[in-house]
Amino acid sequence: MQEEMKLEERVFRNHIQRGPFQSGETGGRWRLISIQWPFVIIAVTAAPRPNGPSEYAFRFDLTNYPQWAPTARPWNPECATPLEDGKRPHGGPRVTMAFRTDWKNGIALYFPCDREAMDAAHAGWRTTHPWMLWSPSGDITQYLRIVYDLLNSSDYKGPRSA
Amino acid sequence: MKTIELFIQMEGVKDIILARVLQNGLVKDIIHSAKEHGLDLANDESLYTIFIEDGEEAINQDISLESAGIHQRGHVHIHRCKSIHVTVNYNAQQITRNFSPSTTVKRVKKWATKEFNLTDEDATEHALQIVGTTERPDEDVHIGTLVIHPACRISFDLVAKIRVEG
Repeated sequence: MQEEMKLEERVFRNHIQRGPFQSGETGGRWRLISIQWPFVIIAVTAAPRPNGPSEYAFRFDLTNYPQWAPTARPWNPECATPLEDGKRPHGGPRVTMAFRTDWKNGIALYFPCDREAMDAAHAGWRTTHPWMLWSPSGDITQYLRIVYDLLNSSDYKGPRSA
Repeated sequence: MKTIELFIQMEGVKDIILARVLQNGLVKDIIHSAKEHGLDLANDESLYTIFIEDGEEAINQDISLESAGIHQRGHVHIHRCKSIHVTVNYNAQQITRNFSPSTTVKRVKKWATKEFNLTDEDATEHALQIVGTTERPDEDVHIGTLVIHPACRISFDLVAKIRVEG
């Protein structure tokens, strides 16, 4: 018997048909690769860099979306494995910190919009980076816009091993 | 009847609406479509003007979409302000200019960083933040979404992006 789609997945599928996600996809900022609830893989376009990819894929865990914030990690969609450390985005202080591998083994992106990162130890981010907080009234583009901004800043220099 | 999809932003609405209009329709049909998608036009429709994204002038609403250069997945804007007075503050300096409501935050930032003599590299490390708030609208947001007629003005601070740490 086919399992009924959960409400959170229906909400997500509705969100990605709406203007904010579609506008980003049409504009070449990101693209949906796959949905296998609660895991969703989305690629985000990166600025051209020597030996750098045109995009990075991220696997999101969207459990209890959108009430809970997403959490995501860089992903290798061909191998269906976490992206090797040497291929993760690297650069100046903003990019290196966001894609750090020395925190919880790099299982999440290190900024306030990520639910794994936004734990009790990082309550101070609510005042230092309020524009990066997840809002349950918004959609996945809140998170994607932050990643796109990082990967298209001068702080981004390419993959770690390039 | 063939239809096309358009991205619509409008006065005071912080969302991007993906709407369908008849491909061979008129520009003014965009307003009807926006209403069908739940956009609440505050009063007389004739007070609203339509702009193409980053376009300087309002479009004649009686011409066809094709004549106006509006195609599949184009971006348009509906607003009562004909132009918006923008102020940007940076390092105790202030610059001002009028833009159309359909101007993207990206374009305003490009103008501001050039006026303040920031390099392209430095520009990516700064963001426009609405004065008196912590809100940093995304680059594809039209400034008209941040303004409600008759207050056709907005002020930003150009602020440095700081790394997340701790």
